[in-house]
Amino acid sequence: MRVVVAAVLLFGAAARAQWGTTGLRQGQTIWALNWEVAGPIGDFQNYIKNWSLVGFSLEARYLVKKNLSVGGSFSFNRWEETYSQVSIPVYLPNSGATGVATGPVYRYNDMFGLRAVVHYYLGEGDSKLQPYVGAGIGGVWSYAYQQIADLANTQDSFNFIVSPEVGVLYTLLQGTTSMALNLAFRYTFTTASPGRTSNAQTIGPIIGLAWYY
Amino acid sequence: MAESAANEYDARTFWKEGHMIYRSAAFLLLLSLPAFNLACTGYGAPSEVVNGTATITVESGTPPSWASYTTFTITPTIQVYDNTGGQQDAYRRDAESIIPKIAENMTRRGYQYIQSPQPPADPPVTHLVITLYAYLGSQAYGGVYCNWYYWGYPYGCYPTWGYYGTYNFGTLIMQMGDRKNAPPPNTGPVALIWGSATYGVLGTQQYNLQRVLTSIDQAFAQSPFIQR
Repeated sequence: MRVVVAAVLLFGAAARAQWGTTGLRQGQTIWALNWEVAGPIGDFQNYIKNWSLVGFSLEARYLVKKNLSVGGSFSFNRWEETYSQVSIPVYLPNSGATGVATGPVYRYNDMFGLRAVVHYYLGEGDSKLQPYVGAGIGGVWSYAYQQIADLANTQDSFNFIVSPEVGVLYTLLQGTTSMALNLAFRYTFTTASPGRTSNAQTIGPIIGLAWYY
Repeated sequence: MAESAANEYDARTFWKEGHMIYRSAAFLLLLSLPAFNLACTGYGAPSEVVNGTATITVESGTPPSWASYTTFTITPTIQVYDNTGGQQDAYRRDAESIIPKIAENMTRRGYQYIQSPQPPADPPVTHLVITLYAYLGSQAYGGVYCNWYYWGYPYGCYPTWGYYGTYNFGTLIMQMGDRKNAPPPNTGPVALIWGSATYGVLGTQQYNLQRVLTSIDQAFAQSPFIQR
């Protein structure tokens, strides 16, 4: 009997947990503060392999329709890694001389992104869960730093960035102002070129809190 | 979204439950302050990098025919530029502890070693000449200190390239000149065809002869083109 009751309750809970946009209305604003984890992929891995755990973003979304928002986002990420022994090519532009530098190397890369974002909210049900797909496009300032012994080199540039993502808002508290957990997974493409690499790309999860009213 | 009365509130109950949202927001903003602070500050390289040994080798932009040389010699002394006392002092130190390692690498590549006598005796006439420099203290090396007077070339060397940088823990420089194709002494400079800078091996705390010898091997290992 207990099993039947438990099954009924679970089924009822599952039925209530359908996706939907009941909590979101046209004209609402969503603010989200996120912790961002980002792992290098592609050529960026030739510069740094470590994932960035030092990242955050602040974004604002305005619902122009019940299931469509536009807004802006500011994000920051830092990647850092120390290699015990690396050989890198050296080129001296004034003389045309070429060579090799070998030794312990320290590298980091900061990226400050400023993007316009658009999100589409899926489903029509009635639930705390609100899945969405979205994308951002804009500019990113990249600062890359390399040091071998006490010789340092840097690259500083402003680049293009585009970042599609999928995610879900899970409402924790609902009222005049509501609070939701924001979970997402993002792919980011930039034209940043840290070190001797090009088109830095990353993937990673995002965890944050969102307020909407 | 949620219909549960347990997590809904209105204006009347806001101060009983709604304040949680703003407390959470304030708490998260507080947490984000260290992140903002970190974003606005630089990182520092760990000591294993700053105090580590790095070897940099450069070859002339117009590479010579390495197989055309047969003999070489090495200066018997290291020309030291010491800035550790706040002013630059120049003096020489005997190079006998490192010459065998350099000679070993060169002879393994097929070149014949001819020993140089101590000054003021005349140096031998060889195709290749390796000179040794050390920079102590915090100063910049740009490849401009080419003290080749000993070899009869007051014009120094060319091109004046080098891996430019500062170094706080001592740097050993090896420069190889092409004396086979050089003009007669006192008429022009010697062409530098190869150079090596090993950082972080000569400082007071970092000096370790084995590290110096290992760095010499590394310099030749990353220059496989030096081959007769």
